[in-house]
Amino acid sequence: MGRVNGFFGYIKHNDMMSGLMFLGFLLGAQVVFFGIAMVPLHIFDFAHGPFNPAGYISRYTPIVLIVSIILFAFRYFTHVNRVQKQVGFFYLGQNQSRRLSTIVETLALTAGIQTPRIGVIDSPARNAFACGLGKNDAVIVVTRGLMQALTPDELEAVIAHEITHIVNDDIRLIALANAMQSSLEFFEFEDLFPRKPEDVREFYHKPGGFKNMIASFRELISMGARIGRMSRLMISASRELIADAEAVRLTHKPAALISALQKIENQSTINGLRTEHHAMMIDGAYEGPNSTHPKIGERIAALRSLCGEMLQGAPRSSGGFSHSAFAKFQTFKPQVSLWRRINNWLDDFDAKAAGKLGPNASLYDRVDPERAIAQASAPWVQKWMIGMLPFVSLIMYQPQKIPFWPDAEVATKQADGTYLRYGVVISKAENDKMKRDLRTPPAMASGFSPSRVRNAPAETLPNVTGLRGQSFSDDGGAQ
Amino acid sequence: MLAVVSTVLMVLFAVAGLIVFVAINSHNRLMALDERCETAFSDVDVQLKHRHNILPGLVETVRGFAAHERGIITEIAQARAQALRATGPEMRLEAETQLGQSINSLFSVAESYPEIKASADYRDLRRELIDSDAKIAGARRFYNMACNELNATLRQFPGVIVARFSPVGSRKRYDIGIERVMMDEPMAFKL
Repeated sequence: MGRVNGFFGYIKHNDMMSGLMFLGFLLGAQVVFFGIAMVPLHIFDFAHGPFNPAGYISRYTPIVLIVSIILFAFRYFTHVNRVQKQVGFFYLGQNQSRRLSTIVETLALTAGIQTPRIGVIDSPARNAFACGLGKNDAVIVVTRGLMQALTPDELEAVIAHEITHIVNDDIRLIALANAMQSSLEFFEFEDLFPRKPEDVREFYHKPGGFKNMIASFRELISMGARIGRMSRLMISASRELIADAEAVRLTHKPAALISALQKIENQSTINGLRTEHHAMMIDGAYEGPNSTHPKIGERIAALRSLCGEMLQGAPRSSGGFSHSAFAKFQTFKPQVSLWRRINNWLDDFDAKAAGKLGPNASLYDRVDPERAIAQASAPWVQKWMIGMLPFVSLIMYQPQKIPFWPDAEVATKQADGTYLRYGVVISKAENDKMKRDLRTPPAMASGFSPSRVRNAPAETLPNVTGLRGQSFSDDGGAQ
Repeated sequence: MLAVVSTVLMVLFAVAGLIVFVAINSHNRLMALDERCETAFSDVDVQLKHRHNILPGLVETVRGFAAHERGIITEIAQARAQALRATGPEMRLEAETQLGQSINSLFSVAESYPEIKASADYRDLRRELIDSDAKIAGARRFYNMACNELNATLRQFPGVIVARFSPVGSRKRYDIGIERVMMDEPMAFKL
C-alpha cells in the first residue's frame, strides 16, 4: 500500500514483499507437486488427473497447500538453527568479549529492540550479519577477523548497521526467502540425479526419446525451484543503503562506518559460504544474477552525500566530499522497484548467453538467427516450453483414454447377440463395423468419401446402413 | 432477481470493505510517520540542548578578552533566551536559526582578536561547538527526511483524502540555510 517515500515506507514495503513471497512459495509448491505427480495421477487416478482440472483442483490442491504450509513453517522456524549449522558460528558466552556485548546492548537499547544474541564465526574474513525471525528473536554474528581489524567505533557502526536490519524486518524477509528457496530446491533432486552438462546439451539439441522425457519432467519440477530463486529478486540492494543511513542516525559516527566499510571491502569472502547466505551479509556479491548488494564505493558515496558535515577527518576515498554530492542527496530515493530488478536479472541472462559465443566466433555464428534467438531469449522461457513436453507425450501415447466421439460407443448388447442403439436393433457385425469406421481414420475417410456424399448406390457398402439405420441413397428410404 | 440483488450487494460490500481498509491503512501510516517526525525532532532537541550548554562558556571567554563588544554578546544572550523560551517547534526552529547566525557573528568578531584566538579555552570550546553543530546537522537531516516522507505521503493519493479527517498536518523542514562548517573550512587556509 502506498509508495515508498522514505525509511518508513521502506519497512512497509518489506512487509508487503514478505507476504508476496509467501504467496509465491505456495504457487511454487503447486507447480512442483504437479510436475512430480502428473504421470502417476494420469495412470492411477485419471478422474483427478491433469486432464480433469476440476477433479485435480478439488482433490489435490488443498492437500498440497496444507503440506506446503507445514513444510514452509518448519523451514522458517528452524531458520536460525540451519544458518548456524551451515555458516558455522558459535554463540558468545556470558563473559566472553565484554567489548562486543556492551556495544550490542547499548545499541539495542537505543533502537528499542530486545538485546539480540551474539555469534562469532571463527574466520579471518571481515564480515557480519544479522539473522532471525523478528525484532525480539535475532542473532548478530561477526567474524573474528572483523573483531580484530576494527576499532571500537567502527565495530559500533557495523553493529548499528546490523541492528537496523533487525529493526527494518530485513532479516524476516531473508528468512522467508531462504525457507522458500530451500524447500523448493529440495525437489530438484540435484543430489540424487545430478544434471550433467552433456545431458543438458543433448536435451536441448535432440528433443524426444525416453531420457529426454525424464529430463523434461525434471525441467518442469525445477520451474518451482526457479520460482524459489526468484525470491532473491525481492531482496533489494537498497536495503544496505538504508541500513547504512540508519546506522549513522543511531551512532552519529559516519566516519567510523565509512572506514569500517573500507576495511571490509575485498576482505569479506568467507570460505565455503553458500550462495543463499550472501544476501544477509554486510558485504556480498554486487554483480551477476545473484547480486544482492551495492558496491562499497556506492555506499560510501551515499554516506558522504548523506552526512557531509559530520565527516571532518574521515578518510577520503576517490571522489571525496563535494557540494554536488551534497545536493544529490536531496533527490536520493531508495531503488526498490521489483520490475527494475527483474529486468536486470533477465539482462544478466542475456549477457551471459551473449558471452558464450566467445570472442573468436565467426560472423556467421553471430548472425545465425536460430542461435541468436535461442541464446538471447531467457533460458527459463525455453525450459518452460520444454517442460510442457510431458503433456504432449501423454496425449500422444495414450489416445484411447480420450473419448473423441463418445456417442459412437452407446450400443447395448442384448440377450440374443444383437445390439440396441438409439432404439434401433443392429447386428453384431454392424456394430463392429460402425466402431471400426468411427475409430480408424481410413474407415472414416471412406465414410466421408465423395461417393458416399454423392449418394452412390448402396451396394458399395454391403451389410451396412447409416448411423441411425438410414442410408443416403436416392430413394431416401431404408432398404 | 434475487441473484442480481445479492451480487450487487456483495460487490458494494467488497468495495466498501476495500475503502475502509485503505482508509485505516493510510491513517495508521500517517500516524506512524508523524510519530517518527516527533522522535527525529527530539533527537535534534538533545543536540540543541548540548549546544546551549556550551554557549555560556564560549561567551564568557570572549567577554574576558573583549568586554566592550557588547552588541554581539547581548545578541547571543537574547537569541539563546528566546530559543529557551520558545514553545512550539516552529518557533523553536526559528529561534535556533537566529542563534546560529549570532554564533557566526561571534566567531567573526573573535577572529579579529589575536589573544582570543590564542586562548586554549576558546579553541576547545570552538571545536566542541563545531562538533556539536555537525551532530545537529546530522540529526536535522534525519528530521528533514522524516518530514519529507510525511509531507509526500500527505500529498499523495490515499493520504490526501485521509488527511482531511485526521489531526496529522504537514511539518516544516528545519533549514538554517548556509552550513556553518562549510564557512569554517576555508579559515584553515587563511591561518
